[in-house]
Amino acid sequence: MEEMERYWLWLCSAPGLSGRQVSLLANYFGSPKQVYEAPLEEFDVWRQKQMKWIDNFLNYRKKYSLEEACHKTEQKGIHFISRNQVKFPKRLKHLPDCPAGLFYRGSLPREARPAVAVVGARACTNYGRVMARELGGELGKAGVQVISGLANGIDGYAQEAALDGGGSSFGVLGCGADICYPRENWNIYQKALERGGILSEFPVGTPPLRHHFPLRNRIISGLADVVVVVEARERSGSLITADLALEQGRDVYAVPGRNTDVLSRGCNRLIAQGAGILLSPEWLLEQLHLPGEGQVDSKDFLKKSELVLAPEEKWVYSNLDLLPEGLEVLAEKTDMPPGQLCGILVKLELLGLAAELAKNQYARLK
Amino acid sequence: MLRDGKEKCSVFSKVITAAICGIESRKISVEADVSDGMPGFSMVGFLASEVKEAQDRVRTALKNSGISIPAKRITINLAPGDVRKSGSGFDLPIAVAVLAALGYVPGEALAGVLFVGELSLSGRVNRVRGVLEMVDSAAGFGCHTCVVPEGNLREGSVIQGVRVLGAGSLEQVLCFLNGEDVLRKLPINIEEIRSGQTKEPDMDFAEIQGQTVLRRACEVAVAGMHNLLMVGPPGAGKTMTARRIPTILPQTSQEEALEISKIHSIAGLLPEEVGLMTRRPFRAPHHTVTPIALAGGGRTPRPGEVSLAHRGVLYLDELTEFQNSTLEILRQPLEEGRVSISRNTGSYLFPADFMLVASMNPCKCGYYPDRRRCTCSLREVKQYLDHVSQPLLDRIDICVEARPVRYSELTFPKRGESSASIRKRVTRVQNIQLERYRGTRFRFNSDLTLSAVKEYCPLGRKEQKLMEETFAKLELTARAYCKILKVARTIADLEGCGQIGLSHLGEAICYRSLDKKFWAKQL
Repeated sequence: MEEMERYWLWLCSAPGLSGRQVSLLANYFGSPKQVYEAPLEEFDVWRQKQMKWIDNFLNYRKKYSLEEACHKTEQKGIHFISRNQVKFPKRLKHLPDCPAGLFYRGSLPREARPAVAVVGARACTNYGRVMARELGGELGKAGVQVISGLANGIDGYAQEAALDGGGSSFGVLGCGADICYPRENWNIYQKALERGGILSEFPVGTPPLRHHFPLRNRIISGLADVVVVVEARERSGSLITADLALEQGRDVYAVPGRNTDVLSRGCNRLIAQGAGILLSPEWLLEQLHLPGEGQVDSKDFLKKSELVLAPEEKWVYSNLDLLPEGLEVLAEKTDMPPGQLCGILVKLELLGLAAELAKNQYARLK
Repeated sequence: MLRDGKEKCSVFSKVITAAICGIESRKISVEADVSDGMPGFSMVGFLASEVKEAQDRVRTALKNSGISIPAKRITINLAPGDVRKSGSGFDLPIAVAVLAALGYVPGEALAGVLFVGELSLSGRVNRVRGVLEMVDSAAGFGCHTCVVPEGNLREGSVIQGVRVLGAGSLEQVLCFLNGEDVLRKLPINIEEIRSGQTKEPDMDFAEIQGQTVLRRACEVAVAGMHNLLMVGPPGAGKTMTARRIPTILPQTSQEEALEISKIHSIAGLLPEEVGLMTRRPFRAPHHTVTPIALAGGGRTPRPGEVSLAHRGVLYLDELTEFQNSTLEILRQPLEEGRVSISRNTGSYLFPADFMLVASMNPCKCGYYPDRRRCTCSLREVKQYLDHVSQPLLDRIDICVEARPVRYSELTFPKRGESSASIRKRVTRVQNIQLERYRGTRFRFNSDLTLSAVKEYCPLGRKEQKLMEETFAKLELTARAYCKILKVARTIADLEGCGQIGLSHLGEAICYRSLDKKFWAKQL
């Protein structure tokens, strides 16, 4: 690492220091090296302004040396890249609130390849889950980089599907890049390290704090060419991402939903405000001028399954919905005795066509 | 031999009674001695305070029955001295012993007669707890006659082979002991009681509208005596269904009815007009129940909810609300069918062989996984599930969804299948199992252990393949696998199949118990 980069790493590792404050300091003193070496008196001007953060920062400056900061980051296997580097993602560079540097594991998104951010609710419905998986999978297969927040729900499903489909995916975290939050997504985190990367503007060891997430959302939208919102409530983090994306000049698409579904309201509102309607993954690929795998005539979500099913199995499968339904309701719809119905549902579950989401609540997956 | 040479009058008498220790009765002899000396009434024999209080009741009752107690020293001893005596049933035997010691009753009239009863100040004999058990063991104590309070006459008369007489007042007892035939007898025909009680159609499965899956799951659960957990939102009729489960359990045998009645009699819960409880009990303790109330206990242990549910159904509504420490109590009864309670007066075994039925919501608001209505975060759903004690879940074989009842079902004129016809099938299937497991330590499919499952639930090649795939796909544990096979065995028995088939396994997989880890993963 070249010398100045080390100083940038040190400056960006200061806990609680925002990107703006980092720039402020660096510009005032000329370079991070000078921030590091400046005599204490030079900070008096800042302290007189009674900025709380400057005291915290001076504390950090006193306690942590350059070597310590570098060692701590490298020890965790985390790379650092400052905004001034050529390899720093160009998509971010031009943003007004571009972070001063990025901590990352794995690799950085490639400039030449298209990138799509898929975001949505954590507590999503099965409809959202299926949509996110389908979209993530198709994008991954087509070589599109899927950017998201590695969160529960839509984010995780889309990223997992992209990675499983052989594509690459990048997770932007609201905590240090060494921390897997939420822990349930450990698998995705690991896979993303192999075929993509984990990015964060927060220094190593930063816990996932509430106010970090809106900040990281601007990086998610910033890294992408297009932002797709799959499911979102009317006031949600996903809509913040969409707003940021519009400010950053990105295209926003939303997956439409039923008018009455709370989790689709945010998406429908986006569409009303002029966002694109996401009809199918292929359709999005076309917008990105990429050839999709699917035929042009099958521009639908949910391809027909190629599995050969027995008539009764087909009958049960056709009665399943994307939203979960209880055994009792299914028994009525299919008019089958519980015993037979259960047997078929288990078979569909084994084939990966259906899932039991809660006790005896079944939904189709494809 | 007396120092002052004055003649000392001393009369001694002995009366038989019984004390309840846990679920059994012990023979107690009440000895009375009336002698000269400082006038007084003293009682000895490891007595609880309610027994010590008996002296005031006895003295007043004697006075109000027209018997004047001379100014003498009266000493009462309850033997054996190392058994703690509690309860109010000692009043009558103490009074009789005093009467005998005072010479109002011929000594030979007391031979082979067991007395029990509480006295009121007027001399009336009041109801006491545990009479059924005492009368049942009276023959073992060498008694041919039992004098019990009139209020307990019906339950006492259920026991055959002993003369049971109901005493209304102390005066009547006095007359009886002097050879008059004044005490009531109550001839009872047990068959009549049994048929009479079963006829009452107060609850029936036919009242449950729709809910085909829930009804089916109940039938399977009862047929193999599997413990059942219902998951569903409030208003899904979980409690209503649970209440009706005793009506599809096979009819009680004579011994079972006696067991149930004895426990209720000891707990003081046997109604006066019912001598024998032939219907299976249904106990639904509130979720604030204490461990002692659930298991039984107290200084002189009394049966708790698990024992009161013996041979019936213990229903735990809102399973997640129960304290885990309370639910831990259920481990022993669920494994062994009894509960042992140790106190400083000794350790007691109470029978507690019941079917466990529990219910819970899928999440705090009750609507998960319907994300349009459920606003619980993932963490909240998981935390809610974590409330359920895993050891208890491990002992529940069948878990099924209960969904809210619809208006159309409430108004639908057609009634479901009646309890009586379900009971017929259940009884048949239970008999198949009793026959199959004759000579082993098992009774029903639910009792099978992992090694026994291999022996009694063999699978064909196709079935094995299904279980193999399911095991991997649904990430089953060994315990879950075992439970699925046990339930599949019961379903096969219900259909009269000797061999477990694919459809049986499929249904059993759907009923498999809640797997917290897997569920949380699916979110």
